[in-house]
Amino acid sequence: MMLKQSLLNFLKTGAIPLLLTGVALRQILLVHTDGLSPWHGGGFGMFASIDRDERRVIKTQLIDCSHQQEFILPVLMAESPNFLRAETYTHVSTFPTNHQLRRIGQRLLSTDSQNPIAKLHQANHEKGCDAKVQLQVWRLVYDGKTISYEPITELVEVQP
Amino acid sequence: MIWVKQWNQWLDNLLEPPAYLLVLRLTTLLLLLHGIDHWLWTMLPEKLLATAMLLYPTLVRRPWVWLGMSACLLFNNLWHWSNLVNHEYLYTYWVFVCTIAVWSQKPKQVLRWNSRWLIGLCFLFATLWKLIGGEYLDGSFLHLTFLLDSRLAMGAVLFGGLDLATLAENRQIFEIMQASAAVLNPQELATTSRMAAASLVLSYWTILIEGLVAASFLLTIPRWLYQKRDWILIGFVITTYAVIPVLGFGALLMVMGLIQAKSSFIARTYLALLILMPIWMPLPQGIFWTLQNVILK
Repeated sequence: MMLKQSLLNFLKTGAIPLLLTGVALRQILLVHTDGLSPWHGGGFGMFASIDRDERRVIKTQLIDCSHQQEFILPVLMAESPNFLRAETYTHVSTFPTNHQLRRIGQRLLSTDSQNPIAKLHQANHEKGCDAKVQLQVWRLVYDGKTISYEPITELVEVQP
Repeated sequence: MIWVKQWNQWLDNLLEPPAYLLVLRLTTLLLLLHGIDHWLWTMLPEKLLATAMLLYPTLVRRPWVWLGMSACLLFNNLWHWSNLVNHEYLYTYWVFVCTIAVWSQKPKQVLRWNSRWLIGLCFLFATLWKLIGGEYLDGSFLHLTFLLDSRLAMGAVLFGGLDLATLAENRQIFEIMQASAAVLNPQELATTSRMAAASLVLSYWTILIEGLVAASFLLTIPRWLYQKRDWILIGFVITTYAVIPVLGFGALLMVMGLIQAKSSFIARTYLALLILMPIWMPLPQGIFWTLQNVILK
């Protein structure tokens, strides 16, 4: 009976503030360890940092035996909307874990018809040279005069 | 003066006990309206439920209905956790509180206690972020936001002495840089020393007022600060959202503030600010854009 009463009291007074605190602390941790954007994730970091997901860039390069070529993911998405969903791109920009970046890399290396650069792989493959993809997420910084970018993730290399 | 009297009379009628029912109804209305500008299909169940609660007011007292609403918001929160912004999380917490309140024998006390703590904690973490991020202490966050965010163009013109053409050029420089993924080519933005100074002053003002809201809602000592908490929150809402209108957050803060207010005068002020929010919040921006685009042009 006492335990039930204590639990009920906790539910009425402490549970939700504690939930808010737990989620906010998790968000602070994820921002500092896994590159989560401070604007998202329930840590109340909105309007506290320049580093919002819309201002991030996922730098993507395709490297084959003879040369390297840069791709701009939003352009590829506009060319072939089924290649990568806008929500997936937003999620990866906001929370760019190694696993998420590898997923995009694998998508770019796939040979299905929805991949706008599949023909390029085909040509490389016929020449006996399999390409690899490098991805890295960069954030915007401002020093009071100039805007520039700095990387927030390691360079992730994906091979077929 | 008669219309002021009638207005106050109307607000008093709305606030007639039990006040918690008004808070539940206002919460339901906000649940129906919030997020419609970035619609997701997963929001449909909560919007339908909120519509039913407004059409059949007895549903607002039903614990199972609030439990259903909590489940809808929890699902959305878990599904879209990385995309949601601050106040969308706060809506979920507040719906959890409403659910616990309607299940309890003293709903008003549950709402009052939790609203004070949720407001205090949300401002505590907002202040903490501004301190640990570092971009507030040197003013760089607000400086860049004034230069690039079109919602803050009014502030950039009034505080920084910049003109709209320069701001548009700055935005174009950034958009080209981002669209071409030219991460290795830094670009200079046009600004003024007045803009840099104003950004620094406003950054410290924001830290101060948010810190004061947090302290006054979380601590009961010093007593004078605790007793002034409502005016500090109202001051924050008016000074911040008149410059950057965030209707969803402002409205929820007013509802949460209303239920924990000790005096009927303060509760009436919260309610009046909430009802008039669609007018006063966009008003400064509206006047500014009319002046810039119609009169000065």
